[in-house]
Amino acid sequence: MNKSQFLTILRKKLSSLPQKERKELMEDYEHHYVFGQNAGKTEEEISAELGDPYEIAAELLAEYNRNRPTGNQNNGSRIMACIGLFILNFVVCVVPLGLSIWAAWLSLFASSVIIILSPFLALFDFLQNDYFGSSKLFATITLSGVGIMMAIGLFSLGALLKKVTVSYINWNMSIVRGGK
Amino acid sequence: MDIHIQFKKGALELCVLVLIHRKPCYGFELAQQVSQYIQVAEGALYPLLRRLVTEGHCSTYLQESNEGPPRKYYLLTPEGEQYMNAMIEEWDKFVTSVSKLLKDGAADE
Repeated sequence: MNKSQFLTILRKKLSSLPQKERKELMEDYEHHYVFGQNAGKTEEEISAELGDPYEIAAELLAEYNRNRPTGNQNNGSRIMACIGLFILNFVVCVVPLGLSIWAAWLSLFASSVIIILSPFLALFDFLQNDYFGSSKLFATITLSGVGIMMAIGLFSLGALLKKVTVSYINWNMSIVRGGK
Repeated sequence: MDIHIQFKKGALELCVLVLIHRKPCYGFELAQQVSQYIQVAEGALYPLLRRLVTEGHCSTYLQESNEGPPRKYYLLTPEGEQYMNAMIEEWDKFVTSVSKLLKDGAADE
């Protein structure tokens, strides 16, 4: 690769940088060639020593963006992102929908706890009213078994809901931060 | 191979700091000096020098030259010197620890 090939690639890849920055950087590399040639090297030798222009450009861009974290995400687009999320969250009802799903889950969970405990409630009933009904006891024990199965199902459903909720919240955060 | 490159990049910063601490250098000169010790893509020097300047570890001045373009010299600021010393200390600790690890491993075998 000769000097002009190297510099052309670099200039093209750095086109997103502000004029002044780009000019300074290009000068650094152009001068490097001149100094190298004065020291008796060929353009090809100097290019080989410099390394891959694509890689150098990538590094320079990364360097530039690191110093200006808000540079490519101005406040205007950030506000737009917030408004968009607000509409999605409240007008399109993602939040109310999510909350009601969670409420349904919670109430199902509460009822499963109650029916798991129903044999004890039956015993309490017998003690309180001073009588014993075996059919009532067996019915509540059956119910308790159903409750345990229900609770197991609800646990995995809850884990799934939690995952969805967390990733939805993270997605919101990443959009506000400048979603990359 | 890639690990190797990352490795060198990290070391390059320290080398550059030490070299311009010895005496102010311009980019090409620095590249020649570094190449005497480690094989590295010299093009990576300029992004590095740029960062050292923006972080305040280095400052630059231009010197006209009879042959060729003006030379941009880099020199260490007082903050840069502190940074360099801290980095040398870190480096020594790191190298000692890794060598120790390698030696301990060899003794087990």
